[in-house]
Amino acid sequence: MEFRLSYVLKLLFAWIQVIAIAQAKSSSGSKTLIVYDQRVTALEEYSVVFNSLKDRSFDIHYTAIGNDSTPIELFDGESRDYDKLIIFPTRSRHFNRQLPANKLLAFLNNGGDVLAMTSPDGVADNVRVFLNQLGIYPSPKNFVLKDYMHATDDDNSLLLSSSSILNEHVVTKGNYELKYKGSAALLDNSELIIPVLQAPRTSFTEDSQKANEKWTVGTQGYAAVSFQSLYNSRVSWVGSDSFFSDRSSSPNSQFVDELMKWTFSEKSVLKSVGGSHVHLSGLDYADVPYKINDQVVYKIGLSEWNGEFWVPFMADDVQLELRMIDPYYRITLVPNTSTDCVQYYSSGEINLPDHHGIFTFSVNYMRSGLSFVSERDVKAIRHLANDEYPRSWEITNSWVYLTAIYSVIGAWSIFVVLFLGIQGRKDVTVEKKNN
Amino acid sequence: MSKSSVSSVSAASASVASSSSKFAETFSAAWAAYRDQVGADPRLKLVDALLAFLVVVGVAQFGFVCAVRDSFPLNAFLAGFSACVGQFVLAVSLRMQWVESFAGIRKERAFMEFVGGSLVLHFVCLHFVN
Repeated sequence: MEFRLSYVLKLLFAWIQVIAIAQAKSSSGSKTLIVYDQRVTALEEYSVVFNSLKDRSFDIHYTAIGNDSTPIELFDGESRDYDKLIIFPTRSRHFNRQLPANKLLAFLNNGGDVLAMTSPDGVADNVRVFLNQLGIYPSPKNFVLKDYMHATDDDNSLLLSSSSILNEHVVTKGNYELKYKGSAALLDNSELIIPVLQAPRTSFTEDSQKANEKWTVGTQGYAAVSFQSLYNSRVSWVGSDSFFSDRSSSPNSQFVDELMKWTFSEKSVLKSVGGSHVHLSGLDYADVPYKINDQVVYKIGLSEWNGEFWVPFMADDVQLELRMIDPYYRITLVPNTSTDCVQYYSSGEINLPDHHGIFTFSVNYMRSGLSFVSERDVKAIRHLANDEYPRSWEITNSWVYLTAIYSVIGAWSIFVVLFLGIQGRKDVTVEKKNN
Repeated sequence: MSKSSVSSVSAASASVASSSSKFAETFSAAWAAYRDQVGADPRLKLVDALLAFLVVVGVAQFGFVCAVRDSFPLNAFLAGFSACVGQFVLAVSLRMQWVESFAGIRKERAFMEFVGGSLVLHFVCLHFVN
């Protein structure tokens, strides 16, 4: 009976998993809000992108920005209403009040993913301030990225080589050319920023209205930039809306697809199934607490989301740190066993340091383009108890000192005996003299 | 001129001769006094033999530490070395009292105090080594 019940539960559980897999392609929700300005953007021009999102079972909602200034609510109370947010270039002055920059930051900090576009025609203040907070400085209104060496003949679009894509985890390199017409951004040197597409060496960003006003020169400009927060929520910025449009779909679709998949947490998403550490004998900390110089083994399992399933994540640079203020050890973990969805990494046997204290076993895997994995476990390592040290006679060096002590005692004993003996003989002679 | 220099050299050599002979005299006098003292009482000779032995054992331990350049069982070294030093101090104090008794303390009592003190010392050293 019990067996049957557990069997049914297992089946039910498996069924729930299957449903979950079939519905969600993103690892973190799929309710998407698209914000666009009716005067700038015609949604019909983006059918390829939207259809691809719908194919991946995204639940898309639209909000048009017009002349009214009703606030756009991203939150219902404290819970997030949407998982993803796409912002098209906006010219409306009301947009700043409808969706202030701090709301966007709160959305990001709450785990929401944002794809923001600006263009020379529309750089909304709230989006600009939001991006500035992350360290991305898109060029202001009317500034256009130009390059006379890489321009197409028909509409002055730039041709950017996809072999110079900067992060393989976001978009894989290719051998095709991307068609780009828009603005460029300057970047802060924050480590959370992931440059994706750099402007060519011969390019510059110039104000199309005033002469000699430059925003970027050469490779300091970027056409597409991503950002991943410490909460693993993601932002991508592209300085062009036409980059996504159906007209440029044939050269750009692969790049756009991969960039959106990355931004909406459909790829390069890692998770840890937990780190654990045990004695070499297999007993864990709860059974026998660690003491100095004990041998232990650390193990951690990592999975990667491939858009449908969690699959084993392979890498050769996962490191364990054993730290008390400073790292005492920094050990590269080696791939060990793996299951259908998890790759386990093991440290092999570690000798705990010859130092007692409160130590942290931490794996902090932060790679640009992959989501951040952090596992920490704080454990005490005790010193030896007074009966756990080796006895003196087990240490060969101390045989010398033991011999010394016993020889002193022996010499002293002989001395005392002789001393008394001599005294006795003297007493006898004294007595004889007296007699 | 030459005469004066010769005289000064001879004076210097005389003074050297006199100081070295003075040292020899002093040393031989001290040695004779020691022989007299020890000859009068064989127990003092016994005490001195013990003192010499303790010095040898102590120096041997310190030499071992220097030779292996490691004081690893430091407690064992301290116990062994301080056994020698402590025993030396106790033996010297016994010798002083044996030559000339302290006021109000008889020689027999001094000896028994030496024995008691030594036993305490041995007890402490044996426990300190482990």
